[in-house]
Amino acid sequence: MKISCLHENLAKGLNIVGRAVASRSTLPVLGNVLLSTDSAGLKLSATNLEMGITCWIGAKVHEEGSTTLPAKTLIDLVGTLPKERIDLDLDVRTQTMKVACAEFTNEIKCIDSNDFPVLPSTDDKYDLEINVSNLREMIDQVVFVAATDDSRPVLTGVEVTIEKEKLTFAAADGFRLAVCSSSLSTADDTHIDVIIPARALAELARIIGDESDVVSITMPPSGGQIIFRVKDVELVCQLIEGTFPDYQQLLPDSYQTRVVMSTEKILAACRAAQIFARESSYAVTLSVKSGENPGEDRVDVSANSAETGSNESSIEASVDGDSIEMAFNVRYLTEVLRVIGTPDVALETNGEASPGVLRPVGRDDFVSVVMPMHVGR
Amino acid sequence: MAIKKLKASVISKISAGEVVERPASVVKELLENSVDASAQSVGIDILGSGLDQIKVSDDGSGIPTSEVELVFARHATSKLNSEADLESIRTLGFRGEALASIAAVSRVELVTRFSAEDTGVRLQLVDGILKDRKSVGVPPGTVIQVDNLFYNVPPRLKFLKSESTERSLAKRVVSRYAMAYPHIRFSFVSDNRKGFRTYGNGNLLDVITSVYGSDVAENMVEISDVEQDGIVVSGLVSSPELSRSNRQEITFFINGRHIYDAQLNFAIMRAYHTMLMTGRYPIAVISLVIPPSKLDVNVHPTKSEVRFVDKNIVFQAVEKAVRRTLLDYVSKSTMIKSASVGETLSQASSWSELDTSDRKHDFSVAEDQLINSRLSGMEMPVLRVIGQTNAAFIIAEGPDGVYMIDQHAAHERILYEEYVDAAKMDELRSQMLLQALTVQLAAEDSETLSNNLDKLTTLGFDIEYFGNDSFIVRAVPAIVDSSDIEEVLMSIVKYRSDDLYGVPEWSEDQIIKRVCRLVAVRAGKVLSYDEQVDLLRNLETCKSPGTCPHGRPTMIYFSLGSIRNQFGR
Repeated sequence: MKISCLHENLAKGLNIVGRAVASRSTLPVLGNVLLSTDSAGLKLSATNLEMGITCWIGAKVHEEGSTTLPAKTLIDLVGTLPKERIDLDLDVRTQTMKVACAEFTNEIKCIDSNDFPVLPSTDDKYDLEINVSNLREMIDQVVFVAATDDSRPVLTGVEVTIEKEKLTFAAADGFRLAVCSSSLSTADDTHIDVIIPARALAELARIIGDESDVVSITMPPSGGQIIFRVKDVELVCQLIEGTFPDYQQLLPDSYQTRVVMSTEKILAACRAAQIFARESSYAVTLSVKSGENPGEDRVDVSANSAETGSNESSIEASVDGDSIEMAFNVRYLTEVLRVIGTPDVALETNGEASPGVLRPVGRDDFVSVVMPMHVGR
Repeated sequence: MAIKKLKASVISKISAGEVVERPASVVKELLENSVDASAQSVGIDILGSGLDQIKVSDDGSGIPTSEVELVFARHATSKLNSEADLESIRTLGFRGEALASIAAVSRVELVTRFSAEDTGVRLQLVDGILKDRKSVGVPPGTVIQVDNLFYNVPPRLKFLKSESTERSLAKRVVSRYAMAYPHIRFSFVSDNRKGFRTYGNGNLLDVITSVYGSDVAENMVEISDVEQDGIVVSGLVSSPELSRSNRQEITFFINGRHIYDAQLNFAIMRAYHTMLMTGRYPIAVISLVIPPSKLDVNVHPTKSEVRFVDKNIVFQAVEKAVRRTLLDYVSKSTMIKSASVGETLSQASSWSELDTSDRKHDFSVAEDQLINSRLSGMEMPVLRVIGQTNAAFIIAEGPDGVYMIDQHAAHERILYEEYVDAAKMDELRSQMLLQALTVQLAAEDSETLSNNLDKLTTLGFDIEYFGNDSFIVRAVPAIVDSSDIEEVLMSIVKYRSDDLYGVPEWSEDQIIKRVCRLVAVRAGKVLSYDEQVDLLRNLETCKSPGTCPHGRPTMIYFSLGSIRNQFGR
């Protein structure tokens, strides 16, 4: 194997696949990046067996071949090399890669590429192409809700459904839910309903970056996996088996109180309250007050702790319905408010022991449900 | 095969197996006879594992010449006359079986002189049959020598342990009787080497010094004789600083007889609640005096078990007496220590005041005092996190050395105090679930949970019985966070099964501890630097940062001095 490529391309490719390298694995080869030549140039792959990322970069291939290099060594080395042409030359017998760039020459010990797990590939045939300008935003709106502990594996994933030209993401843990959707331009009758690990989806969002490229989706016939392709990058991940909770029944279809507030102001109030709520299980009280005259409606956000002290902010609001006081875990509120995406946010509820429903005002493509807390009995 | 009556020799060997199991059982039976004969001094001499020879000599009353042959007859005893006497047994023996059984499986020589007679008598028996009888001149008392034990029952030999194990079992029997009868002089000699000797001065502490050594004796606390419901509890227990890895050193005597009873052992463990680490057990020598009419000792041929007319009274008497002794001990040592660490005592008292002022929750005052007092020597300094090791421990630097903190134990302590404080201030927060969780339990667990639903509700759970042993969970305490709710619930429900005593109702404290244990960050979780710092800052605000709620230490300290020492600086 003998190739030449630009420093810029190699660094960018390594940066993308590096995220899939297994940091602490009993299988040494999973700490390596697979380098192999194919018709498109140089292919870089890494996997931690849950998720794999492959990236193609332009390179001049003098001699075909493949091997794996320790990811950390290679990434650190490339980071120090000057931004010039890099020549890679593998001695197959000793499995040593010579990395030469300008006046620098390095030799890195490799592991035979036959030891590297085979990643499924799309072979340029896609089941579905989606063209969603805000895919990254959609992913950001739900991934943080997914559970981090493994007691109910389906909740560590995001349910992705494609049906009737509509793409829906849903994630939930035991206490909250977030659902966002977008219409698809492609008139296709494909029906997909899978649960994708939240970590892999977050990685996809990172790969997409700010680009509004077409994302191609392939489900290998062997099942259990899904492959996303964005330009020169492929991400393959294991699907989570199981049935996602039926969240439609958790979304109330009416409300007794609806309060509209400035997203920015309520977020700032929650952030301040969080400082004081730390020692009291992050409980903050939202006191929604319907004023006598229009323009006098307010929401008071308060938190207190025996040790730290107390906090209260009062923000303007417009209340539709009865005055109400309820408590929430403030971390759940701030996390949702960060991704609301509109200047105003609406909180709807049917009472202090009913779910709090948060919606962006003016858009109907996102909804989040946060369960309240009881304080004192 | 035709049915026929067994020969007398076969019968005696069969029943001998019930009483004489191993050399130690021979020692026990002979010792009991000496004690019953009101001996002042008893010598035990064994060779090898005791199979070769066991010799017990005493200066007791001896056996009258006219009755001496009878002692080896089955069911012959001087300790019992009528059935009515069984109700009020005050002697150790009474079945009249021991000597007959021993004689059936060994060669026995008995030399005895009744104190009122001038000459003694010597008997030799083989296979339980009298071979020789002579008048001899000896001092008053009895010497029994048992040779070649089990020589005629080879199957029994197979079940014996190694020579040293058998010997130490025999020694343990002697030491137990020495502790039960401190006013009798015991001496134990094995293979002509002195094992131990007691002085017969009636001081139990002296006996313990002889048996366990002075290190142990220094750490024993005396139970002042406590009488409750006609039961007198006395003896010595180890202070919380001294513990063993097994229960073998918990010894009970009831009316002078050594007894093994799992429930009494458990009563002791309850008395030590939170003072010992899990898996550590105290040393205890406890003597109970119970009116004979309130118990039945005739349960087991070796009489190592008894039945109580009311076991709860006995259980409570033991637990109370030991607990009180320990509390007294701890509060005394607290005063001594707090003289040097001024602040600790005031902290401890404010904490317990809080407690007594609010009787709604049943956290025991004693427990918190204990925890505080144990830590009084160790206030937590401000620590700088160095890092995490083995995904389980945090290494931190203090002003005077290095600390290793167990992340799970530390987090457990933090959550426990947070939870308890919130419960006391009536500020418990419970988080509602997105989807109510249905939990299916086994029938017996379901009953336990139903009985305790009120307590769980006060502690922030919202659980409702749904029929068919299933329950619906609607809300959980806020600290449960994202953990596995079903697992938390199961661990609470299963609490009962670990419990020998079978506590029908859990205390709030037990529930809280269970929850914290499950919710606390596990060993094996990699923590970010910020998480580590956060954990330590929170631990610093705890009232008892040094132990987890179960009594395990949260941190170990290596002083700078000892580190320097190790490096030879």
